[in-house]
This record gives sequence, structure tokens and C-alpha cells, in this order.
Amino acid sequence: MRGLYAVALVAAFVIAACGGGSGGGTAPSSSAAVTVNVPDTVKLAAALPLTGADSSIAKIMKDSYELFFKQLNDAGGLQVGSKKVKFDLKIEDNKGDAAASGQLYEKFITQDNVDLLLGGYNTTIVTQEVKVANRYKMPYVGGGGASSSIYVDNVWAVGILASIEKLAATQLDFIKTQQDANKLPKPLKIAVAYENSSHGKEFLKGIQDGEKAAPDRFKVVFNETFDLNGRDYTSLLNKVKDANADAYMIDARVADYITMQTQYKQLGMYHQYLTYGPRGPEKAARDALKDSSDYITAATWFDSLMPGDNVKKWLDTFKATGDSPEWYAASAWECARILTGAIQKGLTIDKQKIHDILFSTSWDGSLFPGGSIKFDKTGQANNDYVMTQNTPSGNRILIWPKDIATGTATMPVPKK
Amino acid sequence: MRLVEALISALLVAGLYATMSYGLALIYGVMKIINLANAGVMMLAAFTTFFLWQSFGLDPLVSVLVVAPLFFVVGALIEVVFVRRVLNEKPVVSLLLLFGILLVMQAGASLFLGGDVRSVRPVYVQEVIRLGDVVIAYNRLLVFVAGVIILIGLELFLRRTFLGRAIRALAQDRDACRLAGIDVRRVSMIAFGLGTALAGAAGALLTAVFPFDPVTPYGTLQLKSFTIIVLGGLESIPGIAVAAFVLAVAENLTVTISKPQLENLVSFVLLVVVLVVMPGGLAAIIRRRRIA
Amino acid sequence: MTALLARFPKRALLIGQIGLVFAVAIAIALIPVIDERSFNLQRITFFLLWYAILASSWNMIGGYAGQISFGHAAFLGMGAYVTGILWSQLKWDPLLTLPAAGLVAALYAVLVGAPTLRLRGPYFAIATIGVGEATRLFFVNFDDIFGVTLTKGVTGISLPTYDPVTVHYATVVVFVLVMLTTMWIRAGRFGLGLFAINMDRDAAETAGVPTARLQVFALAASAFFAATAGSLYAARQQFLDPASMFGFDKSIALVLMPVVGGLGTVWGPVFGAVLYSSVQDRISSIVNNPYLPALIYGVLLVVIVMFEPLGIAGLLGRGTKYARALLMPKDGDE
Repeated sequence: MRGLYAVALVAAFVIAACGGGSGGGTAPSSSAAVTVNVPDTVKLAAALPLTGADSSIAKIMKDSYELFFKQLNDAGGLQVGSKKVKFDLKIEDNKGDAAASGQLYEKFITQDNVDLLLGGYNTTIVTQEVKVANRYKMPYVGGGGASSSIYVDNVWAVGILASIEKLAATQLDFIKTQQDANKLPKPLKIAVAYENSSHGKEFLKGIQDGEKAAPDRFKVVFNETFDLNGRDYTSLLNKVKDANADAYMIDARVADYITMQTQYKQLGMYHQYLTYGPRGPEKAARDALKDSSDYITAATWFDSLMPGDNVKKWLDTFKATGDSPEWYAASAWECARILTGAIQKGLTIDKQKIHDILFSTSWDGSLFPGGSIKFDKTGQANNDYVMTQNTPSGNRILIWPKDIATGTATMPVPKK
Repeated sequence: MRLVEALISALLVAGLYATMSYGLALIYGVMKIINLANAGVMMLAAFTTFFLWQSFGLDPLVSVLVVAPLFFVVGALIEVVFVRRVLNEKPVVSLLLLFGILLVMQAGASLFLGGDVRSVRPVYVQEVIRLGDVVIAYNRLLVFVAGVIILIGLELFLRRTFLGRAIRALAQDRDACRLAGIDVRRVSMIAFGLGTALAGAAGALLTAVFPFDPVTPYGTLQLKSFTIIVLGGLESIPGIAVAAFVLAVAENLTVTISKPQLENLVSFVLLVVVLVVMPGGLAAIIRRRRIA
Repeated sequence: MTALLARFPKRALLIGQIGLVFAVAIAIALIPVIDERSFNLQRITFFLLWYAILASSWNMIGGYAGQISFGHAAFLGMGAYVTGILWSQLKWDPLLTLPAAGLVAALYAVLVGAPTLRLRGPYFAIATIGVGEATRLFFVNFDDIFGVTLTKGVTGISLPTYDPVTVHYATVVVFVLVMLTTMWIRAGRFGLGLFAINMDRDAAETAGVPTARLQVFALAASAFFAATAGSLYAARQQFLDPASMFGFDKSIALVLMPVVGGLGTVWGPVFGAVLYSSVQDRISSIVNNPYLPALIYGVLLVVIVMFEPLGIAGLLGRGTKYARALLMPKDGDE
């Protein structure tokens, strides 16, 4: 009789562990004698925050990944040496939870037996994913996390987004030119609000480094962090108002940007220079905020206004998804391109070889500024940023670097 | 001037907080159970309001007139089908039951409506009113006024109508009500429905001010309503209004004096402290004064 | 043998259960020994045991003491962070931090529990929601409040590499400890006292049961083990962030597992853990929607609360007398 429940318990354990049978080490197929060491279908996987605060961004990345592989598969597959290789991409929803994403990536590796990994979105989640990739010694190519904290102790992951400190530094460089043209005051009093994360802290540090290097140009008169996904920023904004700064620089996620900017306008606030870090021109934000988001400056990793054949070709292709071609889409596309490029170059999906190729190659023909991506020894790329400014009627112009600018920035922001 | 603005801001926020909490307080008063599904009802009401706005352009404040009766019915159904069966058990049981219902609501909404963050943006979403140096957001003012109307309406109902008095009697002594010939079961059902109707109204109103999603509607605002009803005394409606104001002021002061992130921490520390030190809330203290 | 069983039924059942715990533990511990590359099985069994540890620890306060805690993730997260900080800052071996993490959480439980466990009815449950959230916010803002760099706020703590197989063994050990503790509670005077408080606090107090002390101790024990689970997580996953560790959804899972599995029973939480981890793994893959499992749990919870308060254990226990004796909590005729 005791057996009844004992059997039930053991049976339960067995059923639960049942899927383990199919797991085990992932070994590349084929023997050493064949030149091309790649199966007919390569399995890839990624997890994205398809629901929750970052869902609109995640959907754009998902569409971009899927479009890339659909195109490739429709054309017969990737030409690897003498054979054509197709790709099977699996994307799951991690609900914006880092622990869940880590567990998903582990499942991809041990249960779904994927060959290589594509990256997810948002720094905290990506940091966890990269840990898993390193633990299982699996190459991971990502374009959704920019903080350098992701790459600490990292061997197996590469990320195409340049650091946030560089983002801040780029904006300060732009401001210098405006000060020299007498459009912005010198020194510029800056109020900084940053999200309570490494992303935000690096943003602040970039600005503070700039202040230290040129104290006659920049003065940080206020800085404070805020919690992510906040609903009510009025108390913070009132403090910013009291700081009487010339410029207000914020590092926030898109959802928080929309909320804060709405409340900023409600409070009737004004600054000569306003930026939300890498946020600003997102279609979702422009639709929600309308003219409240005019004249906001942003520094991003890519913009569809950039010149060049690579960009043009990609834009034509991307139209198919119907999404807005924002940097998230370009980033996802580049990751897919680089990963498949590595397979093509090495004629293999052997993890160590792919790793070596990823790190040693200069990935030309890139959509990103400079046209080429090269990973440093920690795995992070260091391309330049482009800057945009929102203009009325939902438009925007490129204002930096000078040689690709499509218009002159309106500085200072006009008083309504 | 900062102080005045802070107080006004607190007042407006208090209106929001109070609206969220009336339903919880009413149900606890009458049935002595904590309606954990309050958050779920608010969330579903918010979605209903969103779809009404999206399809018909119906203003959220007007939606209240549609949403509140709808969720009255929902609440009555929940009471009859589920809650009634566990009323005589330990409080733990009803707690877990309503918790389960909350989970079903949240998971169901995520599954069928999508887990994205939605936002209702009525035409006046960015309009402001200026009183001298002080800036007041128009939508918050409207929501506050609606909250006051609801408060007055609720108090009138509870004090002037037979049903309202029956509900209050039930809150005081269930057995005596039976003796007095009140149909306890029917009144309980109505009370519960009224509680969920209030939650529904709150959900509709709040869409005018904040974005929402199925899993954490209004983020930590939800949990604040617990703080409020505990602070106000779980059984007193005007107490709720006062408690909401106290909480709002406490938060605003904390934020102005120190860091904005501590805003939410304040409410929860307050919750635990009040539960331990003043389980009857402010209302109990006032009652004690009156007796003494 | 049957004679022995008849003469000392309680003792025999207890020994049998202990035997089962060890059997399961040894079986799982042997997995990495038998097949070094059985990564998937190791992953599945780690999380299985991990959930079982958490569910059983919650059961100590929620099931035996009858006080529902909706903020248990606070202890889980606390354990994880204590380990994370001791490991990354002071370079302690993470597994050696387990007792420290447990102790810190237990002390926190005493601090929080002493005033709140006195509360009647659902007040304690509400208080725990507050505690859970406050703890999360505290850890998120710790660095800014005290001006240090310790918890790294929302970004989370990045931890060094550690051998997952060692963590696997450690998890097995902790699982055995938790199960033995649970059985000891149920079989002994401590459990009897808790059960009495659960039934009728005033009567228990009149009978001389030190209600406050017992309840606080139950909460502390519960917190201790939940924290060790957090430490194990930190050692294996090498990354902690407050949203994941202290999130309300973790607290929800901690309530769901033991309640669905069987509140106040020894094996109920284990059943709940098995159900939870297998549903997580299987259903979300098949349907590719992470919310279907949550819907299933919610429905299960409602059904169980209304019809079978002892959950899965109750359903199984309806079978036979022995199964009933094994799975159900104490009743009058034992």
C-alpha cells in the first residue's frame, strides 16, 4: 500500500526527467575527412521579452531575425563551401525576466540541442544569457545589450553594440561643436537622470568623465537615479526643474521615456538641450507623444537615414515586415549576418572554430556606422554612434557625424 | 510654493489611491475576507476601458458608467459560485481562493489579450491647468473629481438607503442581521458585487493616467491600496480617503527630502508598521478618542 | 516484517519515508557520475530538487503553521544575495556561504515575524506582501542608500564560474536536509504544537503552547531553507538580479507549489514541485506561450481550494489507509 504513493512519486520523478533522455552533449556531425563540417540544417535559438515593458522592441528584433532566415532559406540556404545549408530558428518569450531567460537558453542548449545562439534584449537579461553561453562554451552573437558589465569574464559571447559611455561621450562631442557655434551656453549646466542599472550608471559616468576632462564646457548640476517601469516621475521632474539646468540628459527605456516626457510637458518644463540617451525617434514614442517629442536629440547605433548601399539594400528588404526600421531591427539583422558569415567562413559549426572566427574577423559590409564591425578582446564592438534630432510632423534629421548629417540641428530647442 | 505644489500633487494622487481601495474595504467590512482578486478586476476593467476607447473612442471617465455595472455582475457571480462556499472556513481558504482567481484573471488576460503594456491616451492627456505658479495635470484633476463623486455617492448609499444600511449592519454583526430578517446571502452577494464594481471603476479611471499590462497592473500602486485600507481601518470609507492622503503626503515628502526610489519603499514599511502597531488603523484611533 | 509494520506503524512509515528520500537523493546524485554529459538531465533534476526545497520550506510556515506567506521570495533572494556578495566581494566559496545565507535569512525572519505573526486572520498574509516588496526595493536601492557598491541595483551581480556538478551534489544534500527536517517537524512535538495553533490559537495558548515562539521558529526555519535554495541558485546560475530573485511571481510560485501539491503534508510540496517544473518545461515549449502554465496553476489552485484542500497528496491519499497515514497531516486517531 505504501507502494501506491511510492510508485506515484517515483513515476512522477521519472516522467519529469523523461525529457532528459534526449539531452546530452552536443557534438558536431560528420567525420574529419569531409571538408564541410556542417549539417544540412543548422539549429539556432534566441529568447526575447515578447511580453512586458520591452515587447514592442522585442517584436521588431524577432521580425528582423525571422526575415533574415526566411530570405536565406527561401533562396535555398546559405552557401557553405559546396553545400547549401538551411536554418531552423526558434524564438521563445522570456517575459522580460532574466532568470527565465537564462533557463530558456540552458534548455535550448541541453534539451533542444541548438548549434549556436543569437542574442536577446536588454542589458540585465543579456548579462544572464551570456553567463549561460559561457558555462556551456557556446558561441553567442547579440545586439541587445550595450553595457560593458555584460562582458566581464566573458569568453564565448560577442556583442555588436558599443558601450554606453561612448554614447554619452559622443553627445558631449556634439555639444562642443554647438558651443563653438554659440548655439549652446558654455559651460553647459546639465541635469542627469538615469535608470537604476549599469546602463544608466555608465551613461552618468560618460558625462562625468566629459565634465572632468573639460570643466569649462560641462557642469553636472544635478544627478539622480530612478526606478525602471515607474509610473509617476513628477517628484523627480520637480527636482530637475529646481536645478535650473540648461540641458536635461536622461538614460531610460522606451516605455519610461514616453511616460516621463508626457509628465515633463505637463509640468511645462523646458531645456535648451534634451535627450533620452539612445531613445528619441522610436515610432511608438513619436506616435504616442506627437509634438511633445519634437527636437529631442538621440544617439543610436544605427539610423535608417544613414547613407550607403548596405543601408539602402537592407531598408528595401526590411520593408517586407511592415515594421519601422529602427536600430533594433538593424542590430538583430547584423547579428544574424555575422553568425552565418562565421559559419560560411569556417565551413564548420564547431564551437571553438566559430568562436575564433568571430573574434578574429573584421566584419565588413555592415549596416553600422563605419561599415565594419570588429570585436575587442572582451567581445564588445566599438563602432561610432550616429545622432538624430526629432523634427516636427513626426520627422527627424541626422545631425552627427558631420559628414553624413542630413540637416542642421535646431539648437537650442525652440521655446514653445 | 514647492510645498503647496507637493500638497496638491499629494491630494490628486490620494484621490487615485482612495478610488482603488474602496472596493477592498467594503468587501472586507462585510465579509471579513481580503479580496485579492481586486487587482485582477481592476486590470480587466482597464482592458475593457482600453478596448472601448480603441473601438468607439469612449473616454475612460465615461466608460466608468459601463464598466462599473459590468463588474458588479462579475463580482456577484464570483461570490455566488466561489466565495460563498468557503465563507465558513478559515480565512486562509478564502485568501487562497481569491488568489487563485487573481492568477486565472492575470494569466488569462496575458494569454488572450497579450502581455504588452497598453496605454489609453484621451485627447486631453497632456493638457494642464495653471493656478498661478502651480501646474496641475488635467487628466489627474478629472480623475480626482471622479474619485470624490464616487466617495460621496458611496457614503450616501451606505447611509441613506436601506440596502446600504443593511450592508453596514452586516459588517457589524452578521447574526443580528439574520435575527432582524435581513437576507444575509443576498446582501453579501450585493456587497461583493459592489466591491468589484468599485474596483472596476478604479481600473477605468486609472487608465486615463497610467499605462498598464496584465501582470503588474499599475506596478506597485496596487499593493499600496493594501497599505491604505490597513492605515484607514479596514472598515471605514472616509477613513480610506484620509489614509490615502496620509500615504500620498508621506511618499511625496520622502521623495522631496531624499531619493525618488524610496517612494515605494515608504508605503510598504508603513504597511508593516501600521499592521503591527495600529491594527485598527486611523479609524480605530479616532474611535478610541471618541469613547475616551 | 508485516508484524513489525503492524506493531510500530508510525516508526516503520517514518523509516520508510526516510529511506525513500535517500533513495531518490542517491539516484539523482549519481546522474553526473554515470554520464558526465547528461546536461539536460542534470538541469532538470537540479530545478526539480530546487523547487522541492523551496516548496517544502514554504510549507513549514504556510502548511504546518497555517500562516500564508505571499512574500517568501524575500528569503530566497536574501540567501542568493548574501551568497553572491560574500562570493564576489570576499571570495568565499559559494557553497560554504550556505549556512551564513540561511542564518541571515532566519534572523530577518525573526525580525519580521516576531511582530507580524501575532496578527490574526489574513493580516499576516497581507503583511508578507508588504515585506516581500519592501525587501526587493531595499535590495534594489541598497547601494544608493548606503553609498556603496554591493548589490548593484537593477543591473544585478555577475558571479564567477563554479562547477555545476558540485552544486548538483550540494542541492541533493540540502534536499535531504529539508525533507528530514519536514519529517521531524511532523513527527515531533514542534509539529504538534504548530498543528494546535493552526487549529485554534486561543485554545492552544490556554493549553500552554508557546504560540508566538513556535510560529517564529517555524518562519525562521522556513526562511533558512528558502535562503539556501537561493544560494544554490547563485552558485549555479552565476547571475542575480532583484527582479528575478525577489519578484512577486517567485513568491506566487512558492505558494502555488505546496498548496497544489498538498498543504501541510510531507510529500505534498514535492508533488507540487514536480508538477510545477515539468509543466514549466513541457507546456511552454509546446504551446510557445509562457502564460498557459500560469493559467493552469490558477485553475488548479481554485479547484483544489474548493474541493480538495490537501491537493495532490490528498487525492493520492484517498486511496488507502497507509497512504492516508503517510500523506495527510495528523488527525485525531494517530
